Amino acid sequence: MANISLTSACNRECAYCFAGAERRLGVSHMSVATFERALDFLERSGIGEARLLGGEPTLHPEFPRLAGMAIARGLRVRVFSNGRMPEPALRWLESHPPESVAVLINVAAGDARQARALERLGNRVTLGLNIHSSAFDPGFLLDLIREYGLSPSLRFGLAHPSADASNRFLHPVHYQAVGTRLAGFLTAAREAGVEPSFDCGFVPCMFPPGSLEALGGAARDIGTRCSPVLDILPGGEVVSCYPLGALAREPLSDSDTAGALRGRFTARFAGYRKLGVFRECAVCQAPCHHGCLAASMQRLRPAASTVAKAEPTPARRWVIPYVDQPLAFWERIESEHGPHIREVYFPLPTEVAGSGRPPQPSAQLESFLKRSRLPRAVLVNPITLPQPVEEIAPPIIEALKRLIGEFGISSATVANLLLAARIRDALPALPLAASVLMDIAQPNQALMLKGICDTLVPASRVMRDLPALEALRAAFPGRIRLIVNEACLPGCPYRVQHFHEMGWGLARPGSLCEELLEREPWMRLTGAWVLPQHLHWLDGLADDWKLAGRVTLRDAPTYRRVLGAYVHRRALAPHEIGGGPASPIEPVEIDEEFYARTLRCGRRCHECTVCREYYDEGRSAASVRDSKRPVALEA
Amino acid sequence: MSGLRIAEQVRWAVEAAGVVLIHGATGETIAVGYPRAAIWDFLTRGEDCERIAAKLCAIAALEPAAARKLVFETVVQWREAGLIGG
Repeated sequence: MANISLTSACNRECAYCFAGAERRLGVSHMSVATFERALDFLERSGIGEARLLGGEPTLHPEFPRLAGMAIARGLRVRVFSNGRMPEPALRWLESHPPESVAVLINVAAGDARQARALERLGNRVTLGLNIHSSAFDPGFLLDLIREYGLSPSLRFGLAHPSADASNRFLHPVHYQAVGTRLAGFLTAAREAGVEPSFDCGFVPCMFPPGSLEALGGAARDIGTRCSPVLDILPGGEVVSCYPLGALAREPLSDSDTAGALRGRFTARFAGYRKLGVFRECAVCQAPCHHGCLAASMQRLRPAASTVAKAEPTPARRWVIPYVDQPLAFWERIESEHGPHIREVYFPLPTEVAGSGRPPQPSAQLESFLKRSRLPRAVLVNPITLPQPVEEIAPPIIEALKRLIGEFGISSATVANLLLAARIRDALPALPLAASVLMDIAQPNQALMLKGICDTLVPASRVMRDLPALEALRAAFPGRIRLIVNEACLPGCPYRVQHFHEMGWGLARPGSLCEELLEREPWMRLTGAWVLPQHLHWLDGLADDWKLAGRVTLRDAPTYRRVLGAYVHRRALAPHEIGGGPASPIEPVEIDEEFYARTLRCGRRCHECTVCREYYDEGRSAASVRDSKRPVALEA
Repeated sequence: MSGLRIAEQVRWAVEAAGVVLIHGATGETIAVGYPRAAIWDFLTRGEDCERIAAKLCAIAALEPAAARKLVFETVVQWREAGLIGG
């Protein structure tokens, strides 16, 4: 087996694509001469199938000609496509019988642009699914097979990391969840007469005990498929496989065979074969190659520059609120979590512009600013400013200069982009964060921050929307900071007036979602919060985490408990995180599966009852638990 | 023996039974079991040999002299193998 990558061009932007590093080098198409040499290589190696991939291989401007050349040599053609094919390629594929042409289409649920190819290629098509999250739902695959009369077969792949881990990949920590979900689905698939197959990297221990036996022949390769597949790149170089492509490559010679090349790549990586995707692989006796080599290599730690600096320093990722506690409290925070704390934020003094929130106690603030060693940042984020920006910017800039001079403020968060631009002009060395109140939720908005803001705090309506966060991550070159416990409803229609009232003097602002939540309490489950135990779902999408709660976390033990839980990812229930007014107020347990499901649901609450039912079930379970608690005897 | 430096091309991973060290240039792999794996771990955290020996007394129930001997012999061996310098 060997794959010929016809082009690096692609018309989809899959975050998990392990060919991304090649694609970032620019679009390149394989020349006809190189393709001829690749076909020679297949013939010389006794390989009877030309496996064409990309990028999206059908975007090669001469795809029909190249595929025809392979057919002319008596090779069977297998095309790995995303289904978004240009018309000439589609016409060519449908003009050849399934015996000589097969197409594997990697599908995504709801991708309407794939429908045309599915409809016209019918039983030439095997569906493929690249699994990059344990929250995947393969149910739609069977529907597609039925609807379009596709080949009754499925191919599952795992999203593996490229050598530089620049793509989104399925971390082995999620393997068991994936295996469990797959096992359930595969039973249904086989009952429907659909035969599954597995690409490289699957390991037996990811499946529940007994489930592999039930799969019969389909399970044969699980655990043993990770070897140099040989990907011939558009420029004519050969790599062991795309994920390892950055580590070793060879030119396609006119004498090599696939066997010889595989031997050299195998020897090149032999030392690393002792690793496995799990640390337990080293002592495991199962007949297994320990998973994807590229995934295993992610476990390797680099050499430290000197041992003196080798102490792993936790990244300073947590941005936490100032609450009015004595210095001893902050010293304790520093000793417990210091290396994790990026900044402690506090509002710009109200007489200038404030932070858009009711004034909070600040008797200890000066002592904190003068004596605490924790980095500190300032909020300048009323949802609306009381004067035009050009009038209010100068005093704000002066106040910032004073804070920088006196207390070494390390950054500022701003809710108004024009104000941010004025601050950037006056204080170019001060890092600026775009406040959550800028309501940045789409890539085009992220572009507006260019050259002004270094950090983006996305709108709370996308906090539980992985596709939107992935799009922002791709669009914004700076740091992404996610607020973990704000709890506002996504796209809350009360929000602007509520923040306006808070910012301008009302200690108990109205315009709240209380009435709505009384009618629809389940909506509390849809809010912008993530529990500590679920932060891993957002790893890779956030550089910093922000804890809200200048009011709700005022109590010192609560603050320390919540911060400690988030930093160390210890489980909390949603009513314990110090969230805002839309937080769940009853002890509902949030399980992994439910939470994961809400991250990609598209907030189609009008046609979905998942949160509603989960909330009702959670409340009744809690009340049963409470009723079974032993009653304490009075002394 | 202080100021030890992990060789530039060495990578390592924690395994269930210790650590595995891989020389990036040669591909040579060395599986290191406990308690020597703990020595590697401490070295990467910037500990000097004396402190590592003191800690080994506690975690591996070794006599001070035996712990010191183990640490120094191991470091010499790793230095000769090109895994550490300094």
